[in-house]
Amino acid sequence: MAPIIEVNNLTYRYDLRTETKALLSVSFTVHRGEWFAIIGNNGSGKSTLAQLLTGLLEPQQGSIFIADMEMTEKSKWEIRNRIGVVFQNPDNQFIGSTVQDDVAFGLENLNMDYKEMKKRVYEALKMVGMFEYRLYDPSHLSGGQKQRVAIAGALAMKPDVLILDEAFVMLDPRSRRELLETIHELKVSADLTVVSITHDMTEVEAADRVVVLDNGQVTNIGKPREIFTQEKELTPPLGEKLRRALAKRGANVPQSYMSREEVMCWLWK
Amino acid sequence: MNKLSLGRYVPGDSILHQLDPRAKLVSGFYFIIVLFIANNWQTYLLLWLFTLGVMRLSKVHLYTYFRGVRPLIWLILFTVVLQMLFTAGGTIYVEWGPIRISEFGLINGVYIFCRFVMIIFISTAITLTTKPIDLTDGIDSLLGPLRKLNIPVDEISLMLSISLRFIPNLLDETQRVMDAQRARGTEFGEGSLVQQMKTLVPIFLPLFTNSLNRAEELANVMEVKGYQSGIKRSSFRKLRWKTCDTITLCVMAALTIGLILLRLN
Repeated sequence: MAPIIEVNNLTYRYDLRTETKALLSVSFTVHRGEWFAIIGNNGSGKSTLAQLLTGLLEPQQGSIFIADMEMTEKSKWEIRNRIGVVFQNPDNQFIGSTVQDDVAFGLENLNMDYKEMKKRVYEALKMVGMFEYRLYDPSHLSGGQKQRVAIAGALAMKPDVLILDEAFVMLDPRSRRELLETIHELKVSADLTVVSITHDMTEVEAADRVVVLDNGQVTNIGKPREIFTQEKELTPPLGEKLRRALAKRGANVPQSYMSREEVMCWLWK
Repeated sequence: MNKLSLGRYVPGDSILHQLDPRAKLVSGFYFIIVLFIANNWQTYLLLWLFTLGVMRLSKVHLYTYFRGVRPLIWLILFTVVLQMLFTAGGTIYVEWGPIRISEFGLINGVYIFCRFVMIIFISTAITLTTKPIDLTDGIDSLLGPLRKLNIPVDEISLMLSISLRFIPNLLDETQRVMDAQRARGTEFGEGSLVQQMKTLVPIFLPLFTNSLNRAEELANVMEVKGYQSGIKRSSFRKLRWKTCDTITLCVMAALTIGLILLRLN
């Protein structure tokens, strides 16, 4: 698979007078069509990484390539047309006064003509199931619905990469699960690469690959299964938690990591 | 806090609601200018008929209009009293030391009162029937020619629309902060004026810091979505000038002609 994001030796520090680095030679590649999760505790540097990936900060050392373009002060505007970003706070990323205005904001910036814009806005709203709400104003929407609108806003730009910057943190577990399902479907139908920056383990479980950041450094990269087996400090997802608890009680469970479905199947046997 | 009272827009489907915001804004300003043509009771009668007609067309309850006058009533009465006291001429009705109320003064006072109230009624009719965001679009479109003078019209209207969009959020937040302070034993609206003002400080500080954070996040979002000031942007919201808007302007012209004819009589 062709890489769509390449991060090479990325180093960043906020205060040039000190030695503390927010990121220290971070490298990884994300393949086209992959769901890639970036996890880490508070202060691990994942927010800094998110801001670097979206061009809000400029790399001091190292480089970022997105869709074969290097992220620089000049190219960032073009790269931004290829990425869609959903941020954490549903309220603070709603710019338009109605749902459809908000979805159109990015398209307006491209100076797109009205007909094409309307088509794209309607399509994007249908994809996230918010079409009926297109004339609503944000104060009448729930947090989950606002995040759906934010996703629609990103999808309307027909991006190659969807970056979720802790996008589900402020949602209740139910809307979180529903949104994850939606994104799973979109990933296939809209041919997206998903990069999710998170500390929610259900989100991590949904990913194809995971990178673990600690103190600004990459400590592990691999499939969720491998990560949860190797990193004992991480709170595992429900299935694995259950497996470990059963193992502790002396039940005859398999020794390796199990996903929720696997545990379910095993219990049914 | 009631979200609906803000911007005071009342949803509806009256003719006034359907008019283009530009037609309403232009007519509103024009009305203020034509007011000065009126100088006798016939002209004022015509203006009143027009104003009441507009109020009726808006299908909004009369009470809402009177509420619009209430906060300004003292200013209006003050001006009226000044007019009554300092206009001389005609029969003198009251003479009490330096205070003298004459016929002309009284008539002038009534006229001034009518003018004020009509201006308020008409502008209320506009804000009641137009969504704040449509007003912003209307202003944006009307200020369009100023672009040639390098005035950043688009930025101004985007700023306006974003501030309108965030008013409910700020109200919610104020409520939350106040509740938090109340839970810690602060009592609002009690004690001397100084004490009351002191209780407001711990509300404003968190509100300000939150607003700054919010602004920064919003700026990031806008940047990531490709917003650059000064570039050419298309617009998803479109204002459509319809026949009824042209008719509105014709009505305004007819009103002017009527006023001039009545004035000449």
